[in-house]
Amino acid sequence: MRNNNQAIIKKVSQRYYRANRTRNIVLACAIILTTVLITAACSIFYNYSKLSTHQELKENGTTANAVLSRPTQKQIDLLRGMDILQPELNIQYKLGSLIGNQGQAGIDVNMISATNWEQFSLSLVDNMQGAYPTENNEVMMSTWLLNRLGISTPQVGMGIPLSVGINDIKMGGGAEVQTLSFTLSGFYEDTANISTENKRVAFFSEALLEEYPQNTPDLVGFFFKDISGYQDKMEQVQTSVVIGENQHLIPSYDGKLNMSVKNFFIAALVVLFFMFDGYLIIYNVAYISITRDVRFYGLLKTLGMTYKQIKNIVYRNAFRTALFALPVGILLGWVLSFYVVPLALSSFAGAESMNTQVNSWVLLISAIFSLLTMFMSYRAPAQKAGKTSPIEASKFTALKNTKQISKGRKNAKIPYMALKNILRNKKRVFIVVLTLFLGTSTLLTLMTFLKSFSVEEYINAEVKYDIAMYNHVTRASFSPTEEQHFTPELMAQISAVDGIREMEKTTVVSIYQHYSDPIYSEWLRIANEFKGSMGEELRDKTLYEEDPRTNFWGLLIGIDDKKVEEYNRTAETPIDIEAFSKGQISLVTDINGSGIPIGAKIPFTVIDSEKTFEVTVGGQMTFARDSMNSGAAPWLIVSNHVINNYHPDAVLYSVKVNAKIGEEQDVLDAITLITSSDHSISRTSKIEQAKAFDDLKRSFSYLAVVITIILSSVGILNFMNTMIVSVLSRKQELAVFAAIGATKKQIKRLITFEGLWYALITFTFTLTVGSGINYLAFHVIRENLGFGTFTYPIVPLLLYTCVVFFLCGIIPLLLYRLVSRESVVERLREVG
Amino acid sequence: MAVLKTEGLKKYYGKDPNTVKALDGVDLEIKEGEFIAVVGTSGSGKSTLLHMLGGLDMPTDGKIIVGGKDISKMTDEQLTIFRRRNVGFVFQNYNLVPILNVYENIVLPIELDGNTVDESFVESIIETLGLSDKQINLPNNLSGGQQQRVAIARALATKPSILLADEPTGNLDSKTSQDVLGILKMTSTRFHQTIMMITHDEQIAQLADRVIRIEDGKIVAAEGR
Repeated sequence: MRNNNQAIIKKVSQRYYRANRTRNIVLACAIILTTVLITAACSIFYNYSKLSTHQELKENGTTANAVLSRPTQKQIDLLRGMDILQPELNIQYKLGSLIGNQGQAGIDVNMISATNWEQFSLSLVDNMQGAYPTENNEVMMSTWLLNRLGISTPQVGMGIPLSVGINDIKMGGGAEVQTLSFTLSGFYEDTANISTENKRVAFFSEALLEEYPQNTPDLVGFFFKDISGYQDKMEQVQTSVVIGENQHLIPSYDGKLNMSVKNFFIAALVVLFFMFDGYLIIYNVAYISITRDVRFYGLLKTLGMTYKQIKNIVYRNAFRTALFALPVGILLGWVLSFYVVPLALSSFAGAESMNTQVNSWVLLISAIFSLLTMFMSYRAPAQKAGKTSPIEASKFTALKNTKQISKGRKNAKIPYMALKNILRNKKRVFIVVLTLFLGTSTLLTLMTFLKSFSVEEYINAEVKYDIAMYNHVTRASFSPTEEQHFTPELMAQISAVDGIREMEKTTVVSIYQHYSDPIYSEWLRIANEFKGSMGEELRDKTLYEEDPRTNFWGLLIGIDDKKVEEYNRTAETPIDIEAFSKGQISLVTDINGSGIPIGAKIPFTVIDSEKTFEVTVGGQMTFARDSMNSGAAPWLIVSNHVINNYHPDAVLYSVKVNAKIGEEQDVLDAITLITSSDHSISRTSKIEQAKAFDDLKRSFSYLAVVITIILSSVGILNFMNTMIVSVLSRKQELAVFAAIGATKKQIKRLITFEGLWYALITFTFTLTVGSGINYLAFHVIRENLGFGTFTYPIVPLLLYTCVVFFLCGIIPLLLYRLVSRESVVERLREVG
Repeated sequence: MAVLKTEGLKKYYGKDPNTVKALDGVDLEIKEGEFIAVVGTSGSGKSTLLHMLGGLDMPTDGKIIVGGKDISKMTDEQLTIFRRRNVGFVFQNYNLVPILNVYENIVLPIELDGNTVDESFVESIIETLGLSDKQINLPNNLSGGQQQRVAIARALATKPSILLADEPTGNLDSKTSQDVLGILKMTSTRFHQTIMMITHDEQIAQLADRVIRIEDGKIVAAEGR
């Protein structure tokens, strides 16, 4: 049947919209809050993916979409000619290496001349000063490298003499080393997560390249004009340029943000949680409004409106509100993002230098999620409105009570009556309490985290010493040519610092061992069992036997006797300290020494000197890896008293210091002063780490406050709307109450109690169910962090409880004022 | 002895020249134990009179003396307390509290006053009104007549000086109406309860001891039986 009456539907729905101002305002607030939450959450996850993608690119050192290694001139020309590619290419030539500069020991530094560096790499570095070299005597490098070379305050234009070996790789390391003077044309901060090869690069101009021409570039990076269809385009490039045998076409940045499955799952969960919260309030607003207007819908039905048309009117009204509320929510969410994103991401590397960005896609997706939430919330109420039967509607009273009897005799007391009143609609109570509960439980959980993971515990769990100093170079890469940075002079200075209670030293010597089945077979079996369980490639002893210097190296570690004493205190099989101290025995570690038979005599060769020694294994002890690089062979531990017998002036890997109680800051200041001149010594301290952890916690507590405020607003708004309707629809009932002798005070008490019951029910659930969830969540986090004591946030919860109780008590009172302005007689007459 | 007395009671709504004189100088005296019916057409001012006497509305001029006290001088709070101690209301649409059962509805005014319930008195009312087996029922499970009986019981529970009934049978069929009127009449006799009932039905009014006729805000006739 033809049923076209859009015009009248439009008209009715417009009039209906205007007649429901309060509902529209509440609905708008609900949509705005929901949208703000969803937008902020989407922004956080978007920026997180961007950050991690960016960090990954930083490790690659280029934003190129793909890289071709060792390209021929013909291939470069072909790439230039391809119309799917941008014309600018990032062609990198390796000119040679820096050799033997001061502070360079242990690291290789490549000399690179690159084209279009700014386009390909500038966005991956921070605080760029100056520009890429153009003249043949110009150089650019990272502040990290400059630091290594002894320049802590670089200036653009300063002169830097460098000792270089041009073409040293081509010539197999036999290049002539010459010292050239350069001018620093630019420098930048490299903030990649892990130290990568990119840090160990000095950039030079094309002019220098012309002076020392190279046959083939090291690589060429390129951008697609349009990133979509990445795979197809890669194949197109592959077929066009014909990849040679020694070449690789390496896909790099495909324009997509990376997000692990786990993170995606977390993001989805958070957004769903917010959507659920939004769903609850919008559903409740819709449901209440439709219940109230059931007579109106019945009338429309009577007058001949169909199910679809009524649904249409309901949806139109909702979307009309959304038309205004959604953009406001998006805008507020967008603004809020600039506050919450830095807070949320403060714990991730590279976050300090990140600019919060919210692109239009994020906003669009947030809008879609919000609309989806609204649509889902409105579905059931709209159907209910559409299905209204005219007859039922005319008889409908909002407060139907299906119960036939009630056994009590005491319920005429005000608190009981209040409870009975709110329980007239249990579903509504459930929804309101649930939204309030989400707010309180979120607060409870966030506060528990902030309280349970205290700075003290973090420090005790993670940091054993007040100050730990490391030979940073040794830490980055073990090389046989390590420099001693903790020189005897420096050590003397450190020891002389007032207030030091104890000091612990760890020394290292690079060695290689000589594989033999009687000593190592059980060890290899255990190692391979572990590798197998991790899905890693198994070890092959033939490699060890063929070239032990490369494949079977490890560390000879020197420790203080005190450390063994400490170990003996809790060890099942204590170690003979005297024998250890005299060098009669050595130890293996629990990290990589399981399976080495006690009593075995292990021969090893010091890499530096090629001198061979033998030690007897006298036991195994637990040992913290402390970021030491491992090598394949098991580590051997000897006393610091004897380590110099194997290698004179063995490199000190770490020096750890505990200060006397109360003098921590003084000791830290003194040591910072002493060690600041040598950039190869890195330092961590309890005080600094505690401060960093404290800062991190502060960021999270701000974030927690924002989330709690918004979620609580949703709960309170839902409560408010429910109370408005509850008071309005019982206008006459309350008037009768007044007529039979209830004073205004008593009626206010009744309504206040109704509000307080909501708060009481909510907190009963929070204390039971919420606390349970909270406790479980705490344990999950604790598992991951490895420390933490469950601390129930009594004070914050108490304060918050007071606020919620206050609001739940005061809001109904204020609402009652609206109603009680009319006289009892007027209200009695209203419903006839 | 007069339980209730009005002197020159006036209630005007609106301002000149559109003043509506709902009550225009009513002098009335009701004796203890009397059952009075007030009749009049719609808009004659009978409901306004009842609201004034019950302390629900304030007069423009004149005095209302209930139990020797002039209620026209009372504050809102005083009026409410006066009301729950001295006046019982019975409405056309019963107006029971839906969440409370029959017993709880009846004792509600006593509870509101913070008094302990006089169980034996309440029991006797419940028994007299034939509600003994309905005590735990909720209002929605009662017929109209039964609900009105509960409303009467509620009005009687506080032993008020006067019971005001506003069209108590307006929503009931004629058989039930007779029933409810019989109960009113009986309570008047048994509890020596002063009752003032508003109705537009002449036949019903004839059951009262005295009928007061009101037109355009003035008493036009008072007839005893």
